[in-house]
Amino acid sequence: MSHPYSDLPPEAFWRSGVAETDPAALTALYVPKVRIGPQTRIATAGSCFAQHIGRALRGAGVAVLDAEPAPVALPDEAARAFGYGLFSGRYGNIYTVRQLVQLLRDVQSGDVSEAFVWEKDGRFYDALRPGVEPLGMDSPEEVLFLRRAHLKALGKMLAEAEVFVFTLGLTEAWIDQPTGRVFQTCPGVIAGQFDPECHVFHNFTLPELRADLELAFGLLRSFRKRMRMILTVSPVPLTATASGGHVIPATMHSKALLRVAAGEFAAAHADVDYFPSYELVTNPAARGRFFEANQRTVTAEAVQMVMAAFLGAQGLVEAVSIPAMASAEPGKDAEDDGLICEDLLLDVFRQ
Amino acid sequence: MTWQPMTGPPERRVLILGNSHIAAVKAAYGSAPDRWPGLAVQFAGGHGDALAALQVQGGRLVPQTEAARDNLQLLNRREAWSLADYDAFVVVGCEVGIYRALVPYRSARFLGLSPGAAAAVPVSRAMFDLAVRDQVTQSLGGALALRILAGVQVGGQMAQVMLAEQPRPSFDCRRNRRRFTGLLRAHRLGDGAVLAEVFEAAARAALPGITWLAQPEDTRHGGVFTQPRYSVGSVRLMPGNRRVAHSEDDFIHANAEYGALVLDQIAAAVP
Repeated sequence: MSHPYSDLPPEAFWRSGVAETDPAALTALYVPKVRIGPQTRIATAGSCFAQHIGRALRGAGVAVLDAEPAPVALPDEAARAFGYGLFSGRYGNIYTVRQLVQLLRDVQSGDVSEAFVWEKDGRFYDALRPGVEPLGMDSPEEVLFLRRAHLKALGKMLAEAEVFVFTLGLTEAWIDQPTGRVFQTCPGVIAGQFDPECHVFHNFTLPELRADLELAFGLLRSFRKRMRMILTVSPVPLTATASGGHVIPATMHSKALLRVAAGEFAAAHADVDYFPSYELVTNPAARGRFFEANQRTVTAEAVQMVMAAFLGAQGLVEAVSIPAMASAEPGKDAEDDGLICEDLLLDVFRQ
Repeated sequence: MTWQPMTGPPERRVLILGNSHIAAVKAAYGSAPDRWPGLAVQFAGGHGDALAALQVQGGRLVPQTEAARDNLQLLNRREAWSLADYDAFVVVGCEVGIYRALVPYRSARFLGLSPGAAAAVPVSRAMFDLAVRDQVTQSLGGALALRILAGVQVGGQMAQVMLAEQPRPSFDCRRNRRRFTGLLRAHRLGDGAVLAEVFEAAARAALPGITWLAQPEDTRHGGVFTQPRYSVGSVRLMPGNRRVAHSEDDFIHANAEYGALVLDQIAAAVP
């Protein structure tokens, strides 16, 4: 008797699709809905893991936009520390969808505010991207001067972008209660002062994530009418949780919500796609081999496997090599995988 | 090598190394060595980037290429110098000059500089400083001074390492606007003083452990230039004590009068 399972392909079954397959060579996990080619103008943003995606796309010869290339010659490491070459703009990591919505609104309005300038040891920082000027700035005026230029550059870039690749990283965030502004990092970690009266913890819910994705997509399309979107979820666990519980359930909670929000949103829109980075790295068949010894840093092998799956499915290359983002060498700190991740700073506060 | 007998306070043995800009100092010393009785000076000149090939090996400065060896022999009649023979080393010029700040200035500006061209991208002053610092570290003179300092430290010596800034172009360079466009533009826009300040701070920060000898204050003009009187009559770097003048349209080298001021700085800085 025929039934819906009788004609399914091997990848639809756990045994043939997973148990009897090399976890580094899983097939058919991703069938692109949003197609890109070498000429497609792509913008990238998101959490730390998104830095791998941008680099791999560039390595494959894809036209990844860069609104703010380093205007002066700096050693690569210094340029990255200043936020150059990590994403399509010098916004640093965008961990939450709300952060993306907020940034896109700022680009639209061009508004900057001295209320979001942080101070530390006589130096000044952009509270909305405090990591991109590791030495701080001379004055609040300099912070605003650079933020205006940043927003202007992003506006031009977004008007050119055909596909926006966004990596969802976190649901946990700190919000400035009086204004509703969400921060990239908790006040006080890089600069600024934590004020329990103003700075409140928030763990975004599924409806909020869905609503923010809708807003973000609408805003993106206000810059370019037919912009398409590819979403993925970072497989990197939380460095720390402020939710009050253990970091493992907090991570699972966050990732589950992000995965569902991204998947449902992609399913609801013809021009939005979901790529399963999270699943490729964390699935049980991998037996944790795609994480370094700290069980958090994704290995170079995993990055290569994920990007090969993406680029291969898009018909861009058979395989991709990403040597510059190689994982830690023996004896070297496993956290040092070449990414710029502000959330790692939270580990300093571990007791 | 023979050193003069000591009749008063011990002379400080100084090796002055440099590219074409060393000629001003050499000319000054050759004309009046008695003006600096506390110094016993030797020179190690190298054309172009010959000094880039000078590495510390076994406590000696030794050229690593045939071309550098030939050039050092031609100009100095020797090709190697033992670090232990000197109380101080002074690198003169060797690209460590105001041009290091002009490189990022061509493409970037920070708050405090004039808006400049539309193509200039806003950056933080901290990043601009870092770019200038990197320029200094990578320059012929910056890298050489750092190599010497490392060699001195490895050898457990107390010798001092100094770097004397390359003189800024003569203000007469406005007679050749095409070649000196960048500096003239910075001057015209009123950015000269700020650029000079950035350059000097960056040079000091880029060369920890090295004594920085900035261009003597009285020789400067408008932040990024040298007063023309310190450039007129400059000579080329030649073997021995031969003196061959630069052409009249050379605006980048200083003369012996300027070189004497640099020797004054060295004499004051040597312990």
